Amino acid sequence: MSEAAALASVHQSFRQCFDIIEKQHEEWKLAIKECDSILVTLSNLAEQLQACNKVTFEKTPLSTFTDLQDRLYFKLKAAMDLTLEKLNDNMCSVQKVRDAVSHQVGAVLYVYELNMEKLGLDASLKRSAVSPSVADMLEWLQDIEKYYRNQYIRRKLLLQVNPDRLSEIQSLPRAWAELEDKSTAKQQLVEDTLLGVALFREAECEKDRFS
Amino acid sequence: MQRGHVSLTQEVVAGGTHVCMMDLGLKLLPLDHEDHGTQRCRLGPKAMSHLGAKIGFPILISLPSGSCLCTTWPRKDLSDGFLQIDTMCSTLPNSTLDCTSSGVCLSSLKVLNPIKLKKVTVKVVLRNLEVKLAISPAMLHDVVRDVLRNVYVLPGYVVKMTNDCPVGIVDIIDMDPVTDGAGLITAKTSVNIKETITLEWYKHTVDNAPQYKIAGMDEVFVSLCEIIKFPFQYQNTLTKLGLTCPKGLLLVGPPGVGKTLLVKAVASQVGAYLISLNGPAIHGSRPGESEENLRKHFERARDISRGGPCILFIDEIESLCPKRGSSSNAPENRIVAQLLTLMDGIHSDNKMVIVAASNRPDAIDSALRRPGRFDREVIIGTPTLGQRRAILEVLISSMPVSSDVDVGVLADMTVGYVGADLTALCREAAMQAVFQVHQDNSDNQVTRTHFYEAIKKIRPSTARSAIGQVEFKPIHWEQIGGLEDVKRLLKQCIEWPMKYPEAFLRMGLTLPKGVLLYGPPGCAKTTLVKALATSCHCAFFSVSGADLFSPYVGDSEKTLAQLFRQARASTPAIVFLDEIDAIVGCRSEGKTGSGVQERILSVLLNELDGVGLKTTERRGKQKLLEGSDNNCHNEPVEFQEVINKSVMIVAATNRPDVLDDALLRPGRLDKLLYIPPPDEKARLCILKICTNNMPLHHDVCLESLAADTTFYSGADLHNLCKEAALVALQESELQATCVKQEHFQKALASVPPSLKARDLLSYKKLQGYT
Repeated sequence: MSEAAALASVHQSFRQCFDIIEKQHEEWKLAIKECDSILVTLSNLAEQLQACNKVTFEKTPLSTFTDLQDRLYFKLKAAMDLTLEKLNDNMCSVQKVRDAVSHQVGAVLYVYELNMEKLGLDASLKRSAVSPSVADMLEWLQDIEKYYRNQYIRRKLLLQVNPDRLSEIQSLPRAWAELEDKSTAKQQLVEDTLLGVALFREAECEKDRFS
Repeated sequence: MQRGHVSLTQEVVAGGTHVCMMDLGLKLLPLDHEDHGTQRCRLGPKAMSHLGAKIGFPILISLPSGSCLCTTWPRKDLSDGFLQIDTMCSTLPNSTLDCTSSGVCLSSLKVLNPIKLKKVTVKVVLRNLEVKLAISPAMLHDVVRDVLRNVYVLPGYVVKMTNDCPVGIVDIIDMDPVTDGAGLITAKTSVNIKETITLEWYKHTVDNAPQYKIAGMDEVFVSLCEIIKFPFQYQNTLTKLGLTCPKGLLLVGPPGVGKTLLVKAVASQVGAYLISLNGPAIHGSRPGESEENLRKHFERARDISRGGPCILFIDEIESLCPKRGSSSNAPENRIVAQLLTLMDGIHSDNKMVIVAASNRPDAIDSALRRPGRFDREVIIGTPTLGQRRAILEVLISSMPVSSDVDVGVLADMTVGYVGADLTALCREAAMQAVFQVHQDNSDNQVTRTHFYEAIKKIRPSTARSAIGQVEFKPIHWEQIGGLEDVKRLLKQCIEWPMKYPEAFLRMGLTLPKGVLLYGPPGCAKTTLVKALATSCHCAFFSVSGADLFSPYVGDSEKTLAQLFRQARASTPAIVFLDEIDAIVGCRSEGKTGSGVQERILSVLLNELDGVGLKTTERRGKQKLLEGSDNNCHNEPVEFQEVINKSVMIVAATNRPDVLDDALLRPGRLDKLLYIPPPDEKARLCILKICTNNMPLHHDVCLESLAADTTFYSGADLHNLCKEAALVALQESELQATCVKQEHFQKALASVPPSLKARDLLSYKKLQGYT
């Protein structure tokens, strides 16, 4: 296999990987957005639960209903459990995205390692108008993979609150949003990278069509 | 790659400098912001191809301050000659690199082979205590796995995380398989967390560099270590027994004996976290602020003690907690009350130990000194001979000392010195050596003479404010004529036990407590004592009525008691009471017992022969206390200390008949020495000494003079010689060159003897009576 062939196979694996990342990123965004609304629900429930704990029903007109407090408490708890379950499902899909990206990036690295000797350093560093260098793209892929892993573990840590600490649950949506804000620069990372390789991917597509 | 190498060499040669590529320096630049926490190092393509580095593969960078494991990446602008390093995985002590230093040599970069690890053992350092409490072990494992994923590591390296991660630092303890290459942690690597600590503790253990050396306090050191370690070693047993550990300790001792140093040494020995608390840090200007500060400090100690042993050290506690009754100061009382409550409140967890130090334990509120607050009180006294020796050995061990320095002799000479004084002494000796080296280029060593010079300059700090410290012209035994018997007896009583303790031990002898010198005036009683103080190297205190008497009631007694306390702190010591009859007087039948003299007498009697010492005056080991000194027969050094522990009183009077009988009985001033007026032989001796510096005419016959001067005391003889010389000068109108016999005869006529036969008889009677 010549240098050109090696380059071609590496480029192809890059293109596949970017395709998958684009798809996965959509899913990621969707899941995160869904989590947002679930967390708002959760915080509302926590607030209600807190209020339910605070109020003394004997002093209100509702005192005729004897076990109202317990019933309410049970209901709210059940609702919370349900919400948490939904949240868990969402986190699972987030995790899936992370694993898929990790897997794909690993595969690209493997392909690169196989072809590294033939490719040579100079070829790996060569950039052109349409295509970034192999080194650049490898770097981006690593960054993306790391970003997903980081985000996932961060969010998972955030959700590790004790269900009895209601005030913490109440503040969850804000913390969740903050997590997004804090990494605004990195949030754009995936989109930016995809934009950066858009021409490269088009070119690869055309190459495929011609061949 | 080969091509790159050739072109590089050509380029270097073309540049006109025949430098090997390996010696070329790369300029170290600060890292780009986005590369933080990525373990990347940025290199130029030529350097990369020269090293044979592959993109994304591990490289070991050796820097002067430590080494750094990175992955190789090309610079974005592909320019050569620069190096940027992310110190994520390194052995560097701090994370910031010094980019101002000269460049990094290319040869200090080394490409490593990547090895996928099966297992890695780590120590996890969490950012703070809240994280540690909140995070579950399973979650922690996940987090650690995640942060270590795709990171290259080597054993002994430290992986530092970026700021927003709950895990601050991961210490790589061990990895499997161990190879020369860099270990890559993949998804399949099993991560074994050996230990979880907080960042605060980690920093504490890392920069716990200074090792404190202490000596002569082994016993206290061990017991202190035990108290601190106990709750950790026997946690289960203690809970089973339902015991609470002692948590408070009060160190008492004079200033400079090393109380603070001891606590620091113990803390570093057991690896405990030391929080110090002192007055200025606590006291605030607003009401209630002081209490708040105190609470804050305790809170902090409690937080830290959850992570490991912790010592809260309150230095100079008497300033923080004065006695509440005596000071009508409301804020201080509140602080004391707050401290008491806080100390009672620490019973919830067993890991915090409170150590307080004070040199005035009497000034501390008594409520603090009970079990449950300060359970134990450890008294550190002025160091004894053996302890001084140990301290000096430690101090000298780090100095270039010449072989003629004998630590034993030095320890012997430094009576009354505390640890701080000894440190000052060694420093002074070293300074002397430095000066000398500066002046004449002798070899760079501290010799014995340097130490002796230093001893002259550094006085023991206990003596700084002492009463009765005197300076006098040294007098040798030979300068006193006659009195050979008295000299021998004095030497027996005082010099021998210090010089030949073994002999005293062998014969089962105990020392006399005190010696009374009595005799007619002018017979060299005071001079004898001076000679005594010169010849035996021990602390010498001299008091007179002027030192003792004061217009305030009780002040005189206090001063005398303090004198004895100081003397005991620097044993062996001699306390000299001149004209003791004027100081103590007699409890005679006619007078009531309320005079100052009677009170001083009672104090003196107590100090001489009281029940015991104050506990705060304890020195050395506890069994060396008064009354139990028969236990140690084996070690001569220890024995010497036992023999010398007492204070010897030497009193002088010329009216022994007015002294109280209680003072004269054995056990107090038990050795009565009569200093007789000089006999003929002694007079001759005295005359010889007096005329030593006088030009005598050859017709002067001192023998006949001595025969003629019965009832002349030593002082009279001295006066006689002076008078004779004056007469000689007078006669020849200041032209005299020598003193003749006739001058002596004239002087003899004008100077009558001061002693009378009747007086001598009364002294003789007393001598026969005793």
